[in-house]
Amino acid sequence: MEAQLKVRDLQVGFDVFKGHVDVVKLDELSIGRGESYGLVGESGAGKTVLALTLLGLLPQPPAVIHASEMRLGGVDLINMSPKELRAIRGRHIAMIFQDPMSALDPVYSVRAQMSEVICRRAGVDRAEAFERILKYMHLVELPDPETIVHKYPHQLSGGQRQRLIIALALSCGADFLIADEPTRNLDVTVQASILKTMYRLRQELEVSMLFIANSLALVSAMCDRVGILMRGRLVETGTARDIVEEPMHPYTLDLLHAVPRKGEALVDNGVGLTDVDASRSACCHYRRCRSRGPACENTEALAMLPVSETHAVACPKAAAASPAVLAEAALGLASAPAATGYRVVQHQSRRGDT
Amino acid sequence: MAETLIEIGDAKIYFPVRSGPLHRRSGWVRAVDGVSLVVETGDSVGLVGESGSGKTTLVNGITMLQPLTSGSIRYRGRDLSRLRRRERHQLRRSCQIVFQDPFWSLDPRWLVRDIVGEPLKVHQHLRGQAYQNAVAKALEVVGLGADDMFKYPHEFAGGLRQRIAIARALSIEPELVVLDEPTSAIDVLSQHQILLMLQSLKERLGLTIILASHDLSVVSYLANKIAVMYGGRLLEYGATDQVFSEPLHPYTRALFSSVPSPEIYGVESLASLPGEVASALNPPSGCRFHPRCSQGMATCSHKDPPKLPADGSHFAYCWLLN
Amino acid sequence: MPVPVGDKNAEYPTAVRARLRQMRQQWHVLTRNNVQKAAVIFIALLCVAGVLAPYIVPYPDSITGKVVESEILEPPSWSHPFGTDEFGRDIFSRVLYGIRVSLAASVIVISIAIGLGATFGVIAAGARGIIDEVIMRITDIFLAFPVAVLAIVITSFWGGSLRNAIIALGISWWPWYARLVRGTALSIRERPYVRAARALGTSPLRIMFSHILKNSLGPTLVLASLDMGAVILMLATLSFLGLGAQPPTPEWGLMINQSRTYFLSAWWYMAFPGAAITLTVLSFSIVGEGLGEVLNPKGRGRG
Repeated sequence: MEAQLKVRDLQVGFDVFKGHVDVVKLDELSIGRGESYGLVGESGAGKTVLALTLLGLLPQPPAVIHASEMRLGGVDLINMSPKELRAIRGRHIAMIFQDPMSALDPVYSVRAQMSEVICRRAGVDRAEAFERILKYMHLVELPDPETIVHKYPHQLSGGQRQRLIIALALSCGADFLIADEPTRNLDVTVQASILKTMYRLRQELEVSMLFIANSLALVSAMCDRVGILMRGRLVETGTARDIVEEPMHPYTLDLLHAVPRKGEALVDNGVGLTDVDASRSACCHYRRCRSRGPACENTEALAMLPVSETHAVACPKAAAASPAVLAEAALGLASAPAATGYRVVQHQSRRGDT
Repeated sequence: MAETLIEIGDAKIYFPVRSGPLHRRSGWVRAVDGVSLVVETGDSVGLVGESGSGKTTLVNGITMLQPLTSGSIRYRGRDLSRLRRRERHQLRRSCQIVFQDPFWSLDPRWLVRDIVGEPLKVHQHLRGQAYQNAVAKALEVVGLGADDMFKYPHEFAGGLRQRIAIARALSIEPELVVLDEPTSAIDVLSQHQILLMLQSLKERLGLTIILASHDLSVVSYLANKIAVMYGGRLLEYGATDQVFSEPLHPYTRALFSSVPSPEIYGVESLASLPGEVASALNPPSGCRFHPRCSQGMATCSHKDPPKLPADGSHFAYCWLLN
Repeated sequence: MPVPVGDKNAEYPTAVRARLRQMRQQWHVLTRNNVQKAAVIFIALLCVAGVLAPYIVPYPDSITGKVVESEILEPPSWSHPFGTDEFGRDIFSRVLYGIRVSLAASVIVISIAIGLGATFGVIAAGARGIIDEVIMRITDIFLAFPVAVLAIVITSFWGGSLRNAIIALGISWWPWYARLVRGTALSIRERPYVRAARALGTSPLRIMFSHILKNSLGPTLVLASLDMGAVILMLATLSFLGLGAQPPTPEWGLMINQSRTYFLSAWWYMAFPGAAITLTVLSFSIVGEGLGEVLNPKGRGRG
């Protein structure tokens, strides 16, 4: 599948008075046409910074952005002027924010906000725009569009507002959507409804989507492929099934097992934090990791190693324990780190065991 | 020997809505609309509901932050609305609350020592070394160190701040701890740590817990009884295992199946409900859930559903159970 | 480093150390860039100079006004860095001494303003209802008059003197603080930590002082530092109009007034007191802005 979004060697840092802080460091990220890619990470992992970088919305001081490649639909984003970026934003790439209230201007009615976008982008007059507005509102399953169109954002419920944002994003004709934790502030039943709408829209309109979430449950429902982001670095990538059924990175395992499930005891995987010098390893998980060992101190060992055709992991232990990597090592094909000198601890997996 | 700790009898909390230039009362927001519930010592009761369900308002009623409009809440038999100020103050010693927001629930200008020690000062009038020792002990219980006393809240991350809030609640050794969405503002990995800690504290200290949360996984882990709330009313109540394995109320069933889980790929199996959550200002007549219920009958819209089975430990308010 | 809990002496140093740590962080924010650093240093120097003025002033007689015929209106030179005025008094000494007058007077004015304003503000916020309404309407009446007008009216009524100017300004200035404190107190009341304090049984009086007032100090301090400059300017204005400090007090505004007759030939007479006012007001504004950032609630973290 030809990649719609292709990013390579992206580094985003900020110059603060304490010095320079690296927030995002991605070796590679590519999302195909019509594909849905889920990015999972906790807060502070850099998910929103990444989203804003792709949209070109990050002001360059204080941010410092380096990338060897950043293309959307074949178009190079790196060297674009702000004017060109503005033309692309909305037309080809649009964002759905976490908090619908802050993305909607409270003093304009629904009709006014949507008209503004549609008239400017599609160059149509207000009457035609009105038709389109209703069409898009039907598309996102907003109940009773004819009434809602005259209302103001504060008169709508959270779910309705979020649908409106999706309608706004689609009305420009964008074929790449970035959804930044779109259901975070919604109730659970409303969330289910919105997720179903988004899923259906993605399939019908064949838009690609970067879905940012803080839980694996959401991405396994919505996404084909998943990447786990920790402190700005991807530590594991694969299809949703790969990640959920064969999680390899200790951080992924922690995320999976952190959410209690009915009838299951919670595993306490906390390791003593105080007696470890975190600077010994470039891996951000080192301090909390159960399977840390001497191999973690080798920076090269922290590169992404493929475990299967779709699945890759940035952890020397995990990759080494995988049969595929071991086979390659045996054949002398890959430089897998030697499987000696440490103990690999496998967390109890729900399905099967290793 | 389990005794009744809290008895909620048809509690109603309504807020007046005022409009117009003369601020006339034009209606009522029925935040809690007739809830009856019993909590026994040693229980951990989870109040589950979405926004507008009334669980936070009910929790405020139990902790005497919000007076009732009608009905009663009794603590060990004593009606909270009839207590005098001194008695209420004494009662606060046995019942403490942990709030949702770990940032704003701690005074940013106070040292952690004084935050955690506030109840000690107010109720036990401790000073000096005894005060500091008690604070150190409370901090230890939640896994923080004695030297953390001399820091400010902003020096800690969210999960640790929540621990400080829990330490404050536990410092005077209450018998009832109420938690209002304790994990919804913190990250998944910190949530995990907090849940483990709460579970162990519950067992070690023999606490009775009332936990309000919209997060079913949290409730399923910590609570042994679940109360499902919607539109200010109680829809279903029972032991956690029973309610999860055999939900009686259609809303409960929809709620449980609308939560995504990692092993579930795709969205087809997610249940979704039509319409919006019931408005507390103009609630539907009869069963609050009937406009969204796929199995609604005619009676559901006229008459309030009865409690069925009438005397059982697991019951729901639904005409379908008739 | 764990605190040995049994050690009684450990309490005070560690709590103080925590406070010092916080102040050091605040200092970093305050002196973030060179302009802010310069402003802070300037004010610090000003305060030091003001305190030491009686000891370091080169020509003590210039303060009172002993006339030195031979040195009337001399331009700046090594012996008189700022020149002399029409009585032969050293302007540098007078400007230096004027620091004391201006700073001390402004501090008193602001103290009166905060004293009256915070009291009314807290009462209004606490009592609500009709008391709140009454206090706010009185505040509105005062606010309807420009400060200058009010102060001028009062001082002309009582007669011009530094003391009267200070009191007049204090009386004119309190409404802003009343409003600020009332607004801040009202919003703090609703914050979760106040609810938490109520939930654990803290008495309303204690909540008022230990929580609400303590947190209201921040915005009040910011306004106060911004106001310092404005008050100094107002005092100078009143003196300029003859309603404030009277000769021979070395007050900057008064000096500017007296310089008017001579300024075409003796530019230094107006320039240096004028520069002193400008730099002082500017520095206080910059520091006030910086304080505003410092005292903002600390950034939210998660996880």
